Amino acid sequence: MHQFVGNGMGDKFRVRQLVMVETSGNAQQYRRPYETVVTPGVQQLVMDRLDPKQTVTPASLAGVANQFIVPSAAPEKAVAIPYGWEQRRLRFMMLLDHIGPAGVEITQVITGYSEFFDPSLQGSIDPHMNFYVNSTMALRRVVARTAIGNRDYYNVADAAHVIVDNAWENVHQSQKEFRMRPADVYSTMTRIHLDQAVNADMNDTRTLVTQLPQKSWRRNANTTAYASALFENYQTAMKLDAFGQTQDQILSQARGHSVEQSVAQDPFMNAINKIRGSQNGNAFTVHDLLRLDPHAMDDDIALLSYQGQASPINPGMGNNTFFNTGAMEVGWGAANQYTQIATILSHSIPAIMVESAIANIIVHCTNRNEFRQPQVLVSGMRDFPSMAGTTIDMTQFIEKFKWRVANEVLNDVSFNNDLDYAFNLKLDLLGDSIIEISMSGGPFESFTLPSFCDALLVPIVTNNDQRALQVASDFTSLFDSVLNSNDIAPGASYHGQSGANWGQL
Amino acid sequence: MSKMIPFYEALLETAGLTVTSDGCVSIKTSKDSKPMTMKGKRLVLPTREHQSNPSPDTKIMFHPLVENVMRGESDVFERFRMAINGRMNVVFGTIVHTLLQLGTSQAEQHKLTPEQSEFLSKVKNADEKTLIALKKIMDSLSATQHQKLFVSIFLKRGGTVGDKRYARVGVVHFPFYNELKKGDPELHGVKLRVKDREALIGLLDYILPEQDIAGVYNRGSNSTLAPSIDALMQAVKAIAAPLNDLIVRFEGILPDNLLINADWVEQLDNLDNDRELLAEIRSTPMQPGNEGTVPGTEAEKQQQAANTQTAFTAPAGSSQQQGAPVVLGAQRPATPPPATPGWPAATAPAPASSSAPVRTSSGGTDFEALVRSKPALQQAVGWGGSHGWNPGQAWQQAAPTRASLSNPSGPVGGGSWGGNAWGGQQSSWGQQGGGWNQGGGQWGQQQVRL
Repeated sequence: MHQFVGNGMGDKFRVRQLVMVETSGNAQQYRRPYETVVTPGVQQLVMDRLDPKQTVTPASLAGVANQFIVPSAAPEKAVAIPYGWEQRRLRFMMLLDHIGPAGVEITQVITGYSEFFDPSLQGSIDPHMNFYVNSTMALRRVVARTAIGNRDYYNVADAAHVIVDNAWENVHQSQKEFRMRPADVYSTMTRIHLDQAVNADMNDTRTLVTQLPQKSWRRNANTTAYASALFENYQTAMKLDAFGQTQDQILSQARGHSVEQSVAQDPFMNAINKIRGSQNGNAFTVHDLLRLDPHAMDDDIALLSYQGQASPINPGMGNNTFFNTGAMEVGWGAANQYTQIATILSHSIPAIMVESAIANIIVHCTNRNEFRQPQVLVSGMRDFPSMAGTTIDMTQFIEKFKWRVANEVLNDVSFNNDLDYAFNLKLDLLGDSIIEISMSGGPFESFTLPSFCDALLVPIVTNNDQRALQVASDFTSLFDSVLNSNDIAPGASYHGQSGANWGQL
Repeated sequence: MSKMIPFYEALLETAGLTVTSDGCVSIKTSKDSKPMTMKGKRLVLPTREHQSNPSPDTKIMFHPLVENVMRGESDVFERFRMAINGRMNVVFGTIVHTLLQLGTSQAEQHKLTPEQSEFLSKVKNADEKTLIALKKIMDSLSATQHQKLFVSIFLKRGGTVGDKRYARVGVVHFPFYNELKKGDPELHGVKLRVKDREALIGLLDYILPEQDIAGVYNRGSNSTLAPSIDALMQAVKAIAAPLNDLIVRFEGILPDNLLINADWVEQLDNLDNDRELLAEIRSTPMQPGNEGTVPGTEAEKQQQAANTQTAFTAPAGSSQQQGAPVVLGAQRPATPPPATPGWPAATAPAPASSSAPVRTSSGGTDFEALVRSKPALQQAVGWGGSHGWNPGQAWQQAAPTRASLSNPSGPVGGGSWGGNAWGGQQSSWGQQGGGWNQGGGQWGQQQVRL
């Protein structure tokens, strides 16, 4: 392995491996942002689950969260990608060692995609072609001294999508996108009363998605973790509430507890942006990468696989096939239960995968058994530590993964196993994920999601400001119902506006 | 076998709408049907086919059983409630006019049975002038001028019926009756003699008893599934029962097709306990247009304003027309970088693409059983021209949409119950045909289908 060299702007970087695989195109992809649907039954269920005096954890809302917050069934927007979804492009995964100023070594896993792919006759790629960062993850190696000697442990220090509007022009553009991360939801809550008073477009730049990249924890795509974070941070802010504080001050505190790592704190993206002389963007070129590490494109480090070329690269568990463009277009464009569940699975389970250090996995899930209980069977997987050259015992991670999938995802989508289901999932964070769904004994329907660019599809981004406002308003009402009071009379809990009339004379 | 779709079909039929075989909702007319649109989008049922091909730019799905109780009335629910109001007033108005006409025409009274003749004592002092005055008043009625209607149903969030508190209350008002009771010499610009007023009050009391008791027809719901649609339809059931009872009593005199369909009653009464229906609802996600507005926001205010709008004028400018946007937080640099090459410009987005008996406090009968025992009544359409009532081409007009209001170049429908009820605009009954007794269309044929 080569030494740390290059222009890391004070930090040391070493590209350990750069895997680039051509993808010949994907079907049109649609964004389905979160929407809240609070029925009276669900409201009571949440009140029963959450004790205002106890800490809220994802387990507190397991089996409930997806009943009041789900990605919308109807597609909100056809998502854009450079040169369209039919464009041939490279998806990439880069393992990067980094030693910071304090001497702490971490391994970053950077995934993303290129804007196009047009290799030369010799198979070289355009040095000025942009690579876009989709997500970053930091693996931290911890050495523990045990009775049987030193043992290496890995933990996932950070796993986030990179959210950016590459079509951003200015605040006056007609089409804007808004973030709905927990911290952003608290921000939006502080302006609900403004929307009640002002009849105008509201451009809340605190939550606008701009050309400046922002990170969003992957767990924000897991509804259970997302909802519990919103409750927990609000609850913490309330506990720390000084006597006489206003609601806005409590929300500011909650926002503080929810703050996510910034791009400036991300070693790789910070260094690349400095090399490019810009604080903007989530893109880099081969030229930029070589300035970070001159060995990055060496033959033993950079591995390129494209159509018509035999390659030893095997990033997708031996499944190096290329997705046929348009094959799944109808499925993703629907607004039914299948597409909604496919969306939930395609976002929630990868979030759990990352936190379990799993890069790709084949999972079979069903409750078609005697006691109608969720069963999760793993038939193949690959983990990030092994890709980083370290073999570790993944047993505990797999068991944790199975338990979390069953409790945080399957119980939710099946309404605590009221609905019959069978799912065959082939999830690859670095490539395409294939999801087969059968509900209530029906035939399997297949969906393919380009996981390598799933930051474009995250449910915490919407181009409808009203939707962001609605989610914030509904959570405000739930906070009032669940955390601020233990004694709710029927009807009075409906946003505390008892007596409001619709269509009154 | 779907339970939800037939339930929705029955609800819509009660509102005077019909569903085609492909799951699209239409306004029934005398000859054919007209597409039912909202904001330029076709109203459809959430069938498997429509869910698979949602086309949100051209379709909007009717799915009130998935309700967010934290929100205000949804666009779809608002229009449905207005259609229900329209249908109830059509039925009520037809009964009032027909019976008064009969009460003032001795030549036709020999046809009445002793039971039917009871109402004559209520209108014994009415004469031809009373009938003329009633027609004048009815010509001035408007679907969106709620204060003039025979009956008006609205929804209240958090209220009481009797001594019980409910999450949603369907509130039933009788504005026409209440105006008469005030005793003013004029009603909506029409002079009324004392005996005219007394005859009309007596007739209204006969048709629907206890209108003078506040809240007697109000109904509440604490449904854990969809309290709004439950409360609304429970209120409809409360007034439909005595009305259907009366329509059956006057079989052969009142048009059969006035009967208010109530095939939804059994399912409604079992809404929270029907597990098959619940599973189907859970399998049908929330659809755009059914989400409801955030309480207290400008969107909800605009919606409520539309509900009570009384002038055929364009609504207040949309939020996009209010000048410079309000900006919170830090501004970005004045000179932004151009869009990244390869990415589409931000300004050119790619858009995505019952057999249960029905009893009321007034002693209403099992009208459903009666309807079911007479299939011919259920299927009847049209009631001939002998009654002479005609609000012109009411219900036949495609509903004018809000989009058409803000875009004058777009199609603007004429005044009609259909347009009023679903378009949120003001216009008068009879406007198109020139009055209740003019024009070629037949009211019953046009919009009343059982």
